[in-house]
Amino acid sequence: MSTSTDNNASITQESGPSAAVQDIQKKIVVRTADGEVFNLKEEVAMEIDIIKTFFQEDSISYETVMPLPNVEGWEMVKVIEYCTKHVELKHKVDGYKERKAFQALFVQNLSTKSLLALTNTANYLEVKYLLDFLCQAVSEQIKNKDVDYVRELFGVENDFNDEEYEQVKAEAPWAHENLNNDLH
Amino acid sequence: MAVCVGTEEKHKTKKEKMEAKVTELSKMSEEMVVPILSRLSPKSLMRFKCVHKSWYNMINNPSFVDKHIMTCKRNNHSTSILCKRFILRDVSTEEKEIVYSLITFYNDNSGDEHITVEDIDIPISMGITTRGQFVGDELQGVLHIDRGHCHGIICLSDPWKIILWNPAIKEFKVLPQSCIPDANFNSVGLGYDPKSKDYKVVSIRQDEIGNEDDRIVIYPPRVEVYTLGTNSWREIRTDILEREVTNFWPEFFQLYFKGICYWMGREQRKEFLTLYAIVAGEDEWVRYVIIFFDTTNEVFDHILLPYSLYEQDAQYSDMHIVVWKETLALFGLYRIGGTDAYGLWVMDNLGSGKVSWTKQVTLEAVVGIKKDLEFWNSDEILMIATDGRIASYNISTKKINYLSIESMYPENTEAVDGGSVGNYTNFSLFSIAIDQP
Repeated sequence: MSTSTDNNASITQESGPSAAVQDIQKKIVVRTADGEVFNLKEEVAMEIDIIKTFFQEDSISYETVMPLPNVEGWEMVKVIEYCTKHVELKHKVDGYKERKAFQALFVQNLSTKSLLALTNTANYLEVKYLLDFLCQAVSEQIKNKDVDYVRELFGVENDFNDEEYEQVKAEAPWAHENLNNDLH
Repeated sequence: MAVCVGTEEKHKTKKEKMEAKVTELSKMSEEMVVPILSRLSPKSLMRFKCVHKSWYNMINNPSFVDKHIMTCKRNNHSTSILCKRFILRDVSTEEKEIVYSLITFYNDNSGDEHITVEDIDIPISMGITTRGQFVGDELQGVLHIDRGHCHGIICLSDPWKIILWNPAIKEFKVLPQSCIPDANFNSVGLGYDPKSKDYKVVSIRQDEIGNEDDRIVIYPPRVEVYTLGTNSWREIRTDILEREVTNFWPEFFQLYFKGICYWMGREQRKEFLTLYAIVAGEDEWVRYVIIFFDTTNEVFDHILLPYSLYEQDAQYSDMHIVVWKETLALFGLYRIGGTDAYGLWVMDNLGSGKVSWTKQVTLEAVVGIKKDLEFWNSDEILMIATDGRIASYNISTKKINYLSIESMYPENTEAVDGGSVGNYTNFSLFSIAIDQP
């Protein structure tokens, strides 16, 4: 994962008339919790509601570096990656397959715990479509897992005693069986 | 949103910062639990009740159940069909058996199609059976599946017993006896009152015939309503079904949709000079209509069919109401003048009092198809072929896709029980509270 401070911001490679237009596209700068600084293209930054609100509500100058103390650098990279793709596909007529392929790659190297952390971040940053996608991705990953796994993932301690646990389990014993064979 | 990071932050130790971050993460995780859980299947959710007491309470909470239903409706990746099939119980004696099965089609967008078949198994303690011996034309104590479903809950009934069944969490509930003496349950429909957030079952008795002033009179049907919350029946007034010279009779329950239960029924003359006159038909006074019941206000009203179906030369069979592209539509085989065709008419202006119909689809009757069952996508119809196989017909591509499930006696499947197959989505978490026998 790239940790460069200039993610998705360089546009100098393109040639043609569009380059001149893009050259003057504004940049928004944010700083994550670990001190990393990111330059975002304005159109990508505006996909992130918390950033959009910050700058637009009080007409804050783009010179200001917006702090994001709840976001890690690697998370910002992923968010920028997703939003940039989203913006790109907005202009495409039939991007369904491409989106699906991108989404599959996007989650490929992320552990479920990382996915969960990213979900929290997407919620904090207020990027609805990313949040929906991540919630779906997490649910896909946990749907056939057992109770212990889920507790560990969410950092939750068991607060049932043995008897209570057996009682609750007995309400639907079939739900604890055939965890790998099911499609559902 | 503050601009300055704050110099206090710098003074905290690295450990403190990390701990703060972890606590924050788990706090935020709680917020994330609901949107993630509401995307899970009922099976996963029933299991995850064991994770933590707060999760147990949350999953049982009616507002979570509601949210879950909404989310599942949006992201639906499977359709279930409840089907009554005939199978060979004993190869040597050729004894046949009726089995109720839940067939689930998993259709994710990659085009992969998995099908699972699950035979319904009602606990013996409930005193009814969904596997029955099929002897000649008779059914031995097997329940009828009332058409349609409500939020994933299915109603099974015979004239003496009604059962609510939630396949997703495998719960059954037997309803109490009717509150009308000598009653039998008939034209049973299950619905949900969105205002009181309660499930209701409507049962419409056979109409009664009486003698008044030397004339034969057909009385409007007696109707009783069951409410899950109070677990009881009560009779409701039906004078609204009576008009000056006619009565409305809701005959065949169709479905529940957005707070309303729909029946296909008749408007018929209520007075006849002789019994013979009723039997002989006197068709000019019988016309078919849609009768619906508002579950909140508990009143009936009616809607006329598309005008073309009332024309002299119009014939049709088994017109039924379906949900098509999120709206109600009428679907069935008809003939006006020439050849047979399937028609789909969409209902417009529902709720405004002036319903109109728009014909959306006309399909030539498909060769090799015995009976149409249900729409299970906006352009796919489930059908039974003449050889008994269940197939899916795609309107757009006009292709028939045979599924490897069958019913041995397609003719009998339709004769024994006109509405024995219901399109249904297997997703409901709603607990109907098992009755301990």
